[in-house]
Amino acid sequence: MYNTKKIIKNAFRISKVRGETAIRLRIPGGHLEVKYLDVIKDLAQRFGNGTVHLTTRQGYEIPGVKLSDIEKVREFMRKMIYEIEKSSNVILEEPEKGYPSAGTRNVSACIGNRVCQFSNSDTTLLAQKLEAAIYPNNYHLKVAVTGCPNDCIKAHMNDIGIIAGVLPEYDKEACILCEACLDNCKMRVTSALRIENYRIVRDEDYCIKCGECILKCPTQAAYRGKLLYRIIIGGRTGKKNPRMAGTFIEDASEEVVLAVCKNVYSFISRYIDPKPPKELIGYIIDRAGFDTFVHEVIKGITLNPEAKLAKKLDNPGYFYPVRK
Amino acid sequence: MADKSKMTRFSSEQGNTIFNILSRHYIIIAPVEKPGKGRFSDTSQVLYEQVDSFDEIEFFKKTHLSAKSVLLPLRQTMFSFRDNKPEEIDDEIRPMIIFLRSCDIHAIKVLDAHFLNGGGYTDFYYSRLRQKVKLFLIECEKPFENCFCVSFQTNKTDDWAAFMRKVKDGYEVHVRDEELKAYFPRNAENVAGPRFVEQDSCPIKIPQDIDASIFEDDIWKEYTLRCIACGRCTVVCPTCSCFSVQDILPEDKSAGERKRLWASCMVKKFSILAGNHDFRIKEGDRLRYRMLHKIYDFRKRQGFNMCVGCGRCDDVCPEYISMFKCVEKINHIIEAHSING
Repeated sequence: MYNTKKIIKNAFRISKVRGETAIRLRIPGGHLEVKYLDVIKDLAQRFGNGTVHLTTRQGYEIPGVKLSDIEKVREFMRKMIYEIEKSSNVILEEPEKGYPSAGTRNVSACIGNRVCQFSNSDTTLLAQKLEAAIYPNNYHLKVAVTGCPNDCIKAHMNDIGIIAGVLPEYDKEACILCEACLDNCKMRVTSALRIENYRIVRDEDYCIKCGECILKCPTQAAYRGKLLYRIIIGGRTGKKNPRMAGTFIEDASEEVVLAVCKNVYSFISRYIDPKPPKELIGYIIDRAGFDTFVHEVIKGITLNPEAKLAKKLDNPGYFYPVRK
Repeated sequence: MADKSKMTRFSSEQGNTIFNILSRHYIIIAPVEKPGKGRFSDTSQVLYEQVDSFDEIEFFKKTHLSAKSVLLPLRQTMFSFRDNKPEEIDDEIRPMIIFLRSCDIHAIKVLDAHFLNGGGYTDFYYSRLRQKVKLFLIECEKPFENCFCVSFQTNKTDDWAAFMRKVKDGYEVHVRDEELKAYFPRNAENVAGPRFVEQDSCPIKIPQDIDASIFEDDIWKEYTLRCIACGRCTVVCPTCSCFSVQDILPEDKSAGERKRLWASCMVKKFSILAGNHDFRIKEGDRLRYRMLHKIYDFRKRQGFNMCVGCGRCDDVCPEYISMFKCVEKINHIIEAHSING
């Protein structure tokens, strides 16, 4: 009567209530013009049960929809989903058919520098660019963008996490040695700064490019240099081996971030084990080897001069004990 | 008010020619908006910088930092020494033009009081820079957010070498300085002289008599809980001019430099004495010290206020502590004292 595989691929869920479904709306970057809330409200009232669920990936999920109403729901939301995806430069070829895929989840983002002082970039904008780079796609992949290493979006729990950073530049002639940067880096971050002969010296090996020194400097002797991203890979939750993502590339440019995310898909298609449903990238890397992953993913990409590749993924994560 | 007949108008194009000749003899420093130079990502900031054309100047926005660093560099080499002998730094100092608003010109008057005749001495380093500076007035048609210059009587000034206004497709200028007159055309036009702000958006009464009993008031305890002692208020202030002195030596100590660099009474270690004795540890105490210096202590000595009401401290405070509100609170305390006897 209903083809569940097709329904799921279409971003509808198979509900525990027989005959019911729920539709998951993508909001790339988690930022939405409020005019769409009216459409979402109407959709929930006309076809759902009058409620809406805010998903962990910053989408809206409308529950209580009858499976028999799927066609009508698609028609009702056609214009909205077309416009929202278009704002990320994704053109839905057949919007009347709903979402073309649901495997690659909504690219989520922390609030970013549209509001937050700490954020080193417009995370929503980058999430939208990523959406354009990787959606639609059936591979199950979760991508999140966060504006600083505070990682409010929990990029560490995603298959690919992007952490925006900034290279702090230092104008020594504008430094009054108030030590605000030093004290703060010691208290909050990695103690990457020290004083040498009345100058602040930054230890490149320890600096995580969070930008805290820039925020604290009263004279702006520490100021914003290049925007650089840390790409982390293999984060996941799940019933076997939850794991935080580990650094794959440090100090990547935006071009590298976009290219890497695209290439991850060719790695998946080549090495995925088709047997378990939606094998996550972390498991694929474990099986194929990190070196193979790196080789495959940076193929054809010219890394920006600052970019540094990790040698290994060193966080094994947490294993639920398995009965032998 | 400038005499209308003395005003000259020239086009943006003519301006380039004037600028090119002027800049052969003067370094021209003015407000410039710098994209990406803000503290937060993707933000701009209006700063004082050397400019390469009149068109580059931002005439309509308040600068984040004042122009005081031109006269009092953040780090300044006083002299160097080699084998125990001092060597004077003999930099050639080029004449400068600084574009300033009325309040900032008043701020220079405060710096002059500190450095040209502070305690009867003239500061060598300040005065050699100051002598080379000519002030160009920029007008304010209306007060910016947080401005309270009228209350501090710094809204008007007559102390300028030239006045310049940006208009559509060009500039209007009134030059008073004899040396500068030669650089500008003399086509007298019927245009208005500098306009000054006549009314603060929130006028404030400046407290006249403040006694030491105010030290004990609870408002400073409240400020201790709010202030984070970052020092931004003193850095952006056009009249804060405290500095510390340090000797920078290489490992073998054979030669080195003595430098002075900005200090801040809001920042740790400012009031530290021998034996690590520190008498203003609490943030509220530091804030009280700064506040009373700005609106009272300086006036007792010089006869005019140190604060010029530019409001930059209010603009920059990450904790939204307002100089204006603090003066208001001080007024309330004084009133309550006088009512209660």
